[in-house]
This record gives sequence, C-alpha cells and structure tokens, in this order.
Amino acid sequence: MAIVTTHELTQQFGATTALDRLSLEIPAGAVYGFIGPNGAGKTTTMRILTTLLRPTGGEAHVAGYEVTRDPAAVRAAVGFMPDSFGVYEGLRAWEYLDFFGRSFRVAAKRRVALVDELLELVGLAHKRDAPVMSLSRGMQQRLSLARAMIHDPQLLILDEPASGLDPRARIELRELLKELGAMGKTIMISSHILTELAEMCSHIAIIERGRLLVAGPVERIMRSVQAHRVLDIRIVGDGAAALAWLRAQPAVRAAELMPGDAPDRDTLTADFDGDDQAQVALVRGLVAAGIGVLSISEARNNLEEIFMRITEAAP
Amino acid sequence: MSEINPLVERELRSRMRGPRAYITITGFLGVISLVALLLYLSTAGQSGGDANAGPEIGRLLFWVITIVGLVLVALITPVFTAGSIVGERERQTLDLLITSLLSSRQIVLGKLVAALAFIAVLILSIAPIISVSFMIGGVTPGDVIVAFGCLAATGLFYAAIGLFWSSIARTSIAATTLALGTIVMILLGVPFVVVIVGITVSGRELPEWLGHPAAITVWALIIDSHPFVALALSLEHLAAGGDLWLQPVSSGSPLALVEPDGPVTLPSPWLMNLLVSLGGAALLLRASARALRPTDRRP
Ligand SMILES: Nc1ncnc2c1ncn2[C@@H]1O[C@H](COP(=O)(O)OP(=O)(O)OP(=O)(O)O)[C@@H](O)[C@H]1O
Ligand SMILES: [Mg+2]
Repeated sequence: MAIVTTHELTQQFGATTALDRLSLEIPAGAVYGFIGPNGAGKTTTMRILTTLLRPTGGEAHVAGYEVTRDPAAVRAAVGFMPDSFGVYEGLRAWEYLDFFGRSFRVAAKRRVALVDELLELVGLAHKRDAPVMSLSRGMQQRLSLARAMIHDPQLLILDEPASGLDPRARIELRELLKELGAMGKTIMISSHILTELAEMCSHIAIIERGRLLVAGPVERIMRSVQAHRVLDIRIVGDGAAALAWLRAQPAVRAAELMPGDAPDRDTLTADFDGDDQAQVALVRGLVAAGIGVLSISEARNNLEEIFMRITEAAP
Repeated sequence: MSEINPLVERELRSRMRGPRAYITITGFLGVISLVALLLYLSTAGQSGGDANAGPEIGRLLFWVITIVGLVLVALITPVFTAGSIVGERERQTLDLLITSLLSSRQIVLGKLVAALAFIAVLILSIAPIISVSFMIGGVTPGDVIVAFGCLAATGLFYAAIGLFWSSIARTSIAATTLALGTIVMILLGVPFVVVIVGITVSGRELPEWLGHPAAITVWALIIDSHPFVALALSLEHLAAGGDLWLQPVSSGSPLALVEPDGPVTLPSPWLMNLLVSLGGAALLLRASARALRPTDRRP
C-alpha cells in the first residue's frame, strides 16, 4: 500500500516550473531516497507533502488524505525535518522536545517519558539539560529528528538531513535512520548525493528540473544501470575500421570514436551490456580481428556516475 | 483543551529568562516614576498651604501618569508583538509550528496571549502610582476605571496591529516599522480627519442625514478610536458629573455635526474606544491567522 502518492504534481513559481507533473508513489515501510541536483524540486515536493505549500496543479495524498483538503490529518501522519534547523534561544533540549510534544497534543503523562526515550534514541540523553543553541550541528540535526518523531508519525520526511555533517556524523545518522526503518517507519529522505542513500534505501527516485527520471526499488535501478558498462578501448591503426567492427557486435549498444592523444592513436568508447563472458569474448574478438589494441579499461561505473549519466541524459 | 496553549508557556519562559523583560519593566516604571516625581516637586513648591491644592495635585498626577502610561503602552506593545511571528520565520521555526497540530488560530492567539500577559504586568505596575493620586484626592473610582479601560483597550488593539504585520512581513524590522507606522497614522490621522471635517463643515448647510443616530454613532466611533481623545472626553464627562457608562449627545456636543434627529445616547467614549479596539483586534487576528494558512483550499 502506498503511503504517499502524487499525481501530476505541478508547482509554478512565476515563470519557473519547480515541479513538472511529478507522479510518485511511496510504499508503506519504504526508505525512499529522493535524489536530484540543486534546484531539482526536492524541497518543493516535500513542502507540498507537509502542507506548507499549495501546489499549482495536480494532487498529493499522504496516508490517504489529500494535502490541501485535509491538512490537519496529513500533519498528524507526518514528521517533517526541514533543511534548516530552527532554534529557540533560551530553551533546553528537553524543553524543546516537550514544547513540540505539546504542540502535537501528546498527553502530559506520556510526554515526560517520551522526551527521554527520544533523547536516548538519538544519542542525546547526556545533553538533556543543555541549551539547544549550544549543541553542535550534528547534535541539532539529531535533536531535530527526535522532534520530527514526537507524535509517532507513520511517515518521516527528511530534507537533506546529512548536509553539513562530518563523515562520522553522517555514518551515525545513517545508522539511526536504518534503525528507524527497522522500526517500520516510512522514511522519505532527500539528498543530492546518491551514494549517501543507496546503501540504506529500499527505493530510489531521481528527479531533475521538476521531472521524475527514474523511480523504483533500489536493486532494480542498480541492476538496470549496472548491467551495462562503458569500455574505453585505446588503439593504434585504423580507428574507423575498429569502430565499424565494434558496432557490428550484438552486445555493443553504441560505440564512438574519440580523437586519441597522438596522431596514429584513437580511443573508442563502447556502451556494452553483456556479462563478463561476453566481455572476454569481445576482447578476444578485437585481437582476432587484427585491431591494434593498446589497452582496454572499464570506465568507473559507480553510483555517482550513474547519477550523472541519468541526469545528463534528460533533455 | 486540557492544557494551556504551549506557545504561551514557551514565550513567557524564554522571554522571562532573558534580560529584556526586566529592562522593559524597569524602564517603563522608571519613566513613569520620574514624571510623577518631577510633577510632585514642581507643584508641591507652588501651592503650599492652599486647602484645595490636594485634590488638584492628585488629579494632575493621575492625568499625567495615565497619559504617559498610555504613550508607553502604545509604543511598547506593537514593538513587542511585531517581532513574534516574523521572528519564528527568521529563526526558521515557523514551518515547524505550522506543520504541528497547532491551528493557525492557536498560533496567533498563543502569541497574543503571551504578549498581553506581559503588557498586563506593565499596566498593572502603574496601579501603585495611581493609588497614590487616589489617596491625595481629586480622583474617583470612575476615573480609575476609565484609565485602565483605555490602557487595556489600547494594549489589545495595538498588540493585534503588531501581530498582523508580523504575520505578513518578511523581516522583524519591516514588521516593527509597519506596526509603528500604522499607530502613528491612527494617532495623527484621527485628529487630522476631525480638524479637516471641522473646517469643511463650518458655516455650511449640512445634509440632514448627519443627524441620524447611525451617522452620529459612526462619527463617535471615529473620534473615540483615538485612545487619548477617548480618555480625555471620558474623564471630562465624569468631572462634569456625567455618567461612567453612557453619554447623551445633545445639539451642542462635538459629536453632533447637525441637530440630532432626536435624543441620542451612546456608550461613554472609553467604552466606544473599547468597542473599536475589540472589533479591530478581532479583524486583525483573523487576518493574521489566515496569513499563516498556506494550503487550506477554501471552498
Ligand atoms: N519560494 C520560491 N519562489 C520562487 N522560486 C522558488 C521558490 N522555491 C523554490 N523555487 C525554485 O524552484 C526550483 C526548485 O527548488 P527546490 O528548493 O525545490 O530545489 P531542491 O531540489 O530542494 O534544491 P537543493 O538541492 O538546492 O535544496 C528552483 O529553481 C528554485 O529556484
Ligand atoms: Mg532543497
């Protein structure tokens, strides 16, 4: 069952189209990575889903409620952590959580215990009485996460929770989110760094300029992109002939001739979607065809590159 | 709701923790005490031995303290509330409040009540000084009711003006400037309108409908929307032996531009001021709450 569905969601800011008919579906229990470069529309989408922004077109449902028609029900179902951390001067960590507990009508009896449980969960029990202003960025981030969970929402929407954190704090945050995922929370988390999310997400969506590029279970996306590799083949001799040979191979989807680093050298790039055996056969074939192979290398095919490729391919 | 609005408690808690609250109260009382002292010293010298001096001094002291208090409340209140909502915006906490289960009305009311609690402390802190004038003589309980009525009405209305700008503006400075600007407009604008109308009507044949009770009421509401005018009119009305609650409008009255159609009795100026203040505050608070509601699709 989907906890979030958007249908042709569109957001226009004057002449800027921040969201362009975005249709998403987040299954309950998913850890949903929402990835896109700066200005892609991640924050805009999240602000619509948290009832802060009225979309100019389309519809969005959260936990079964339409965000513009039933904002109160949506707010009760969602815990939101914006990309900025709002501090109140003069409040201590526990008071900060207690205040939001009241704002979400958590009963007084429950609140006292809940505040301590949440501080424990995010590893801030020792900072219970510290002024919020005195906490480090990473601690504030975790306190903010605790705040987002104060009313035990079904869905957490986290806007770039890892930005501005050092590597250690990032790892801690990731562990924490895994824990929450294991607790059965649905988590929607945005980032412009794919690698940061791929490991802990069950689903991924990539958007750019307000449009959805791909979305689905993380293994499926990885498989479909990893199944094809990019081979760089440096040769001496007749580049055109080598290109023609490559293009004739069934597992080569596309091949191109790049100018080499010397007059008689060329570099060919081939988009190859065979498996390891097919790649071995291709190398043998190249040699057997009398092409002067200098070297063959597999272009790095990590997540960053997938991300770059997908986003670049968009018009 | 079983618990009080959480915003009120948080506002008071963080406000009372900082030095600002104490500085404001101390400054407020300092100014008023200084004025009272200067006044006392200057009059005590002049009127030694005069048997009638007591009530006169008491009355003068009462007037001056009330007016200085009203000036301070009119200036401090809007500054106090103008920062409240836009301050949340600037601290990036407003989104957190809006996405909580607090309704926009509760957010606005929470801010208002917290500010009013503080304003009430200011206003009530004048009470001891006023009671001195009461003991000296020349001041009646009715005078004191009028004074506190005007102070409370102004505190409420001007707090709402500050809140309204706070809910719309993007920066605290803009909200404060707009709030003070609005109040200066009211305080200067109302006398301006009255003077202009006075000049325009003098020596002219006026339409008869101006004598209709409704027209007289509207004109009275405009004049009495000015707290200082309402205060002065009410106190003078009382001093002339008039009623605390009601004022008859006769043909000589400044409220009657033409001969009234018949006998008209209106609430006292300070009550009229209270009415304008309550109505104005209600409208402004509604507008403020609406400004915080981004996605409610109204039918
Ligand atoms: N209030 C606004 N007024 C005008 N334009 C806006 C507003 N908010 C966002 N935009 C525009 O909408 C587009 C999407 O912005 P958004 O903040 O959603 O991107 P994002 O994916 O969150 O980017 P980032 O990674 O930088 O946070 C941008 O072009 C931005 O300039
Ligand atoms: Mg963003």
